[in-house]
Amino acid sequence: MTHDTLAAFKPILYALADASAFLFTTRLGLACLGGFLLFILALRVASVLSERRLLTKAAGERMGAAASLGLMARELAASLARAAGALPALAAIAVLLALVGGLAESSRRLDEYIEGRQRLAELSVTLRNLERRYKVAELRVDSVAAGIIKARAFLYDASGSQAPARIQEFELPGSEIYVDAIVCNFDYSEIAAGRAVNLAIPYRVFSDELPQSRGIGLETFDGGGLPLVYLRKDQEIYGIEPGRFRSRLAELAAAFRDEGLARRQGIVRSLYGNAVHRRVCAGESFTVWVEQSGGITIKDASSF
Amino acid sequence: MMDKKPARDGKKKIGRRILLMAALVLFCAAVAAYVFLGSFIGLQKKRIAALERAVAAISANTVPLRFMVVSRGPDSIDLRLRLYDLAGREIGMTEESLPGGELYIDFALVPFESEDGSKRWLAFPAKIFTDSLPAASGISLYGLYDRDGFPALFEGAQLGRRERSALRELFAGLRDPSAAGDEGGFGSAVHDIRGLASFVEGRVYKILCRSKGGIEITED
Repeated sequence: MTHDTLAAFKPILYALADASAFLFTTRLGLACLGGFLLFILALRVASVLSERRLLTKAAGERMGAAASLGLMARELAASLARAAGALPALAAIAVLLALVGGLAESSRRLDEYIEGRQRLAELSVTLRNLERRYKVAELRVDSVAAGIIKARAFLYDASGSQAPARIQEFELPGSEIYVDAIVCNFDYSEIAAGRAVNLAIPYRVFSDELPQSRGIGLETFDGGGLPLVYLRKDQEIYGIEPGRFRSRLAELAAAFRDEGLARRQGIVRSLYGNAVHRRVCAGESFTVWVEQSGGITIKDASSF
Repeated sequence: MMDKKPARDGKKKIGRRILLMAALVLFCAAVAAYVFLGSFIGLQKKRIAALERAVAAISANTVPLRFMVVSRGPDSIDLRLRLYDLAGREIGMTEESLPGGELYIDFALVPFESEDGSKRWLAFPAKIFTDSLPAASGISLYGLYDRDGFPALFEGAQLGRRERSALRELFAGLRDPSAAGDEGGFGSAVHDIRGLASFVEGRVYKILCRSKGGIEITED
């Protein structure tokens, strides 16, 4: 209530401060004020002259130029004397206007500070959301011998759980593992505001020697076209409200069904396949991440 | 009656003094608020500018490559591909015909630290292959932008001597993996997906390389 009351007075305060600043601190304002005062003075003198002329005429006499000039001078002197007498009141008004101006400027600065804090908070959230990354898969290479890689894929979803949604073992000829995924990048405004996260569904592994068409499927989709790794029970979903998790799934499924529609609605920025890969040796592991700035990457390669 | 007038005058004087004091206190408070808020706002503006720069840096990207699927057969892809430097100038072009249904454009991603201490991932177009053509048999793209050992992709920007030397060394390592150590990099092959997101014939696509290492394909 108090805040609303104060907010209601702000326009009046600002208008008064701006008007007084204009009138007393700018050339145009001073010219307008001076012109107005001169106009009032001229009206006063004209009124006195007119009144005297009428009286003189009623008396059957004529008022000469000298008499008119004398009357004007006397009226001017009288006006100046009245203004000098009103000096204390004028000084008080000046102090009041200065106070109003000071209050208005302070209020404006406070508003600017509050807006600045809001902007800082928004930017911090935006940066935090764009800097995020989520684990898609972890690959552990058990052995590399006679040109065959034996490895395990630990597949994760966006539920936030530390436990993998699925584990799959496989063997590939060659020296480089390719982890192929469908990548869906949402619009930057959606990511920045925290309304969406970029998604990656790994669906196949192949190698430098084995073409993708003969690669090993990761059995990631169910018969209905939804990614298996996302079909979690509510109690298995961490870090995100289950309803929101499922609506995100629905968005993904819709994007898969009609990519063009999703793009036209401005939801999906890009939808494509991405196979990240790395030369491996026995005992090595690496993690595939989906970056909220876009795309997927391999980072944190290590030996286990 | 005569006694009441001096008392009234006295009360008026006290009232005026209180009003004056209140006005003075209010004025001083307003000035103090103005001065202190001014310095806070200055600091705020600096922080806002720094955050805006950080957000811009994260979403910044380069476009080293554009391509178009000229035509598709039952099991073949005809492709035209152009490479660009950091100033957007075309530095190489190739046309290829590949067996397969899904086109893969492979990049080598390497971490890099600039002279100003900023870190980012650099993307080097490496090869093209398909779902039928294994990566090891893919067509190398390195030769298209090799200018006496320097990757011409990174021309068109202000680079220091140390940076140019580091880029030359990185590029040499990519072209000859047996001679290079593990720089902590990885490969990233972006591609279309038959039945879900296929490249449309005659449409130009561009590849966006993000500073954090992600790669995207979007329509140009």
